[in-house]
Amino acid sequence: MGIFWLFAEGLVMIYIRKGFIFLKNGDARQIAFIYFCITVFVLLVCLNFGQEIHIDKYLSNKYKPLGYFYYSYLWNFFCTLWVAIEAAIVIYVFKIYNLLRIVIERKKPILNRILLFGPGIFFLGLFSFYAAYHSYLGSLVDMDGYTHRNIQNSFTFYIKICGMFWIIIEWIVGLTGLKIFFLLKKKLA
Amino acid sequence: MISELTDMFFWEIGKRFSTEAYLLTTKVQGILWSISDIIIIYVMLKIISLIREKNRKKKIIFRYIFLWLSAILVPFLVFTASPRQFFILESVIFGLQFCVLIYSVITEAKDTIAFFRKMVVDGF
Repeated sequence: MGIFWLFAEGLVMIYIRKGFIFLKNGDARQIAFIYFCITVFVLLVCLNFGQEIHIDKYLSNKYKPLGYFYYSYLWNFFCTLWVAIEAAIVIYVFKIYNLLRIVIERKKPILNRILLFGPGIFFLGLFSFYAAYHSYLGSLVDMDGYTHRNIQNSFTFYIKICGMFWIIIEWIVGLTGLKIFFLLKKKLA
Repeated sequence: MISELTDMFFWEIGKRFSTEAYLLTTKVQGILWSISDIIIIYVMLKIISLIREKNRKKKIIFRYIFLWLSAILVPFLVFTASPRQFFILESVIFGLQFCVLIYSVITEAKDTIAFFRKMVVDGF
C-alpha cells in the first residue's frame, strides 16, 4: 500500500510540475527528472521487499539497528518522502496560482526570494531531521534501560511528526486550490 | 543541555507513546488529512468540470460518487479498535481518492493544461 501511495503522489507531482513548466514556457520536457523519479521508485520497491531478498541482513552487518528495525527505518523514510512530495506539490500549485493571479487579476507576483529558496531549505531540513532522529534511535539499541518496545514507540512517534507536516501541507494545497477555482469561476462568469 | 533534553524527550516518548496513544493521535490526524484530501479532490473535480463545460464535454458523475463514498467512510475512522483496522479503512478511503486523482490526472491533464496555457498566453 505504501508503494501505491508513493506512486500516486509521485505521478500527481510529475503532472503538476509538467503543467507549471508548460504554462510558463510553453514546452515541458522533463525526461531527466522522470528518469530520476523512476530510479528512486524502483530502488524503494526493492527496499520494500528487502527481507525477501535479505537486504536487511546485509545492512545489519554494516549497521546493527537496521537488522532489528529495518521496516521502521524504511516506513519512516516513506513518510518523510510523502511529506517532501506533498510539499513539492504545494509549491507548484502555489506557483500556478501566482501565474494565474498575474494574468487574470493583473496583480504583482507574490513569490519573493524567500519563497523561492524556501523549498530547498525545507527539503534539506526535512531529510536532515530524518537522518538525525533515526541515527539517535539507532544509538539507543544497546543502551541500558531501553527495550525494543521503547525504541519502537519512538519510531512510531516519528510518523506522527510527519503526519503533522502532512496535514498542514494538504490544507494549504486544498485552500490554494479553492482560490484557483474561485479565480477561474470569476473569470469565466 | 540540548543533549539532556533530547535524552529526556526520547525516554518519555519511549515510555509513554503506547499503542493506545498512537491509535488516538492517528485517528485525529487521519480525520484531519482525510477532510483535506476530500477538499483537494473536490476542488480539482470542480476545476475539471469548469473546463469540461467550456469544451462541451459530458458532466463528471462517477468520480464524484467515488469521492462521496470515501467521504462517507471517514467518520468510521473514529470507531476503529486497532491500528490494523485503522490502516485497512484508511487504505480503502485513500484508495478511492487516489483512483479518482490518478484517473483524472491521466485523462484530463491535456485539456486542463491547454486551457490554462490559453489563459496565460491570450489572457482570455
